[in-house]
Amino acid sequence: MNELVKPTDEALDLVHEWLAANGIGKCDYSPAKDWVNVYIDVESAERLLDTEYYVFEHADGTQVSRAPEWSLPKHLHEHIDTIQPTTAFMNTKALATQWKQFDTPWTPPDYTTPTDPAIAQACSINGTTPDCFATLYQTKGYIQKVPGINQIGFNNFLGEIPIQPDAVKFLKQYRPDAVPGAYSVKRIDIAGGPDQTGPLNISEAASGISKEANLDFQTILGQTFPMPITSYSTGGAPPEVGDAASGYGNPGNEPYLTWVNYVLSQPSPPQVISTSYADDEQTVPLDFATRVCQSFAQLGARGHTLLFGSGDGGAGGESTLTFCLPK
Amino acid sequence: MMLGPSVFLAIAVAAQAALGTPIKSRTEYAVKGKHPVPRQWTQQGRAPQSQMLHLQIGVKQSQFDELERHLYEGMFGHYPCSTAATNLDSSVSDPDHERYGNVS
Repeated sequence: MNELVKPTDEALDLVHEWLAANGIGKCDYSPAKDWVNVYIDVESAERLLDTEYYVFEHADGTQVSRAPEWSLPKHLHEHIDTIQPTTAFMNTKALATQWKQFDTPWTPPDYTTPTDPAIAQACSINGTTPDCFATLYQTKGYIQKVPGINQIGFNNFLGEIPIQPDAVKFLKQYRPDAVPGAYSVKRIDIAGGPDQTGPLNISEAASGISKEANLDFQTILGQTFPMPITSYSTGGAPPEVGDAASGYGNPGNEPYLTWVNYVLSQPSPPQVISTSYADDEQTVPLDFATRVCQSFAQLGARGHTLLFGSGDGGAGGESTLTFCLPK
Repeated sequence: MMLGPSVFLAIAVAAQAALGTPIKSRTEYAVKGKHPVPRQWTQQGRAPQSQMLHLQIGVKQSQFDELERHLYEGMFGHYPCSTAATNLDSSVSDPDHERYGNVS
């Protein structure tokens, strides 16, 4: 696998020569050496890429340093596909459908009950359950053929953490036989992604964090128990402007690439991995999107299935826009 | 009077200081990447020169076309026998696939 995606020796030699000529002697690599990582200050990056970095601020207050145009020596154009952070303005969001907690159950006036009596019986307009999902997907009563061999994973970004006591509470109410699954989940922290097995404290709960992670964890657990579950928590987003004092703590990169390079280095990740986070399509440069997709394709070629939520807005992410992007 | 090499170097260093252009390169620079700043992002000032970046350089993969061929053949079940050398497709998630449940 790695042999197919490994760059040619010539390409790596030319990249190393260019870095060394600019005083950069230290670097590290992705498993196949198709990504070369260097850790340098803005001043050095501006010289290396003949560009200027500016601070950009998102409407939500997020600040990043980016270079909307960057250059390379001509002889390297055919050997380097993309370099980031330069032109990627991703601002990853969780894709939990917007919801509102009503004091009393409320049914929209135009609601009609499902015509299928099994679905009508299992599902409610006021919140869904593992039993409803199993009825909708017709998996009720299915006995897993290779439990323990087939596995499922899911991603957490933005500091989201699946909260174990919440999962236990959920399962006790909606799928009591699956309660052991809340304890046996395998938690993997990548690049400073948080981990937590206890409950949220008051300020964490007030911030609304981990709603997405809880939703993902409880939905998957309720449907796939006793299949082993892996929960990946990847740090690195949202990108912030750091300084010399904060050092490498704020890499300013979106987390998908960090995650996929980690998973590619593992001998046997779960066969199916679900992701419920996304960015607005217009914020992702084509050269970078292509390379991250090629990394996803490596997992595909190894037999893994990656599922991504499309969100309520499709390519527009979670935005509820009245016009087409890009504008 | 002919200018010696050291004078040329001094001029090059002065030019680099003035223009911020790279000192050394085998060939001249040309724009490689460009992307419009998306809506909702507004440009502030120059980035602090001392801010640290983790620069990720995507070097071209040598045989991605070959990997893509394996990927699609694997998906449709027409998989060649001689795959051991590349260690592709060690497991599959489709329960109807002949190698479902095999772990290598």
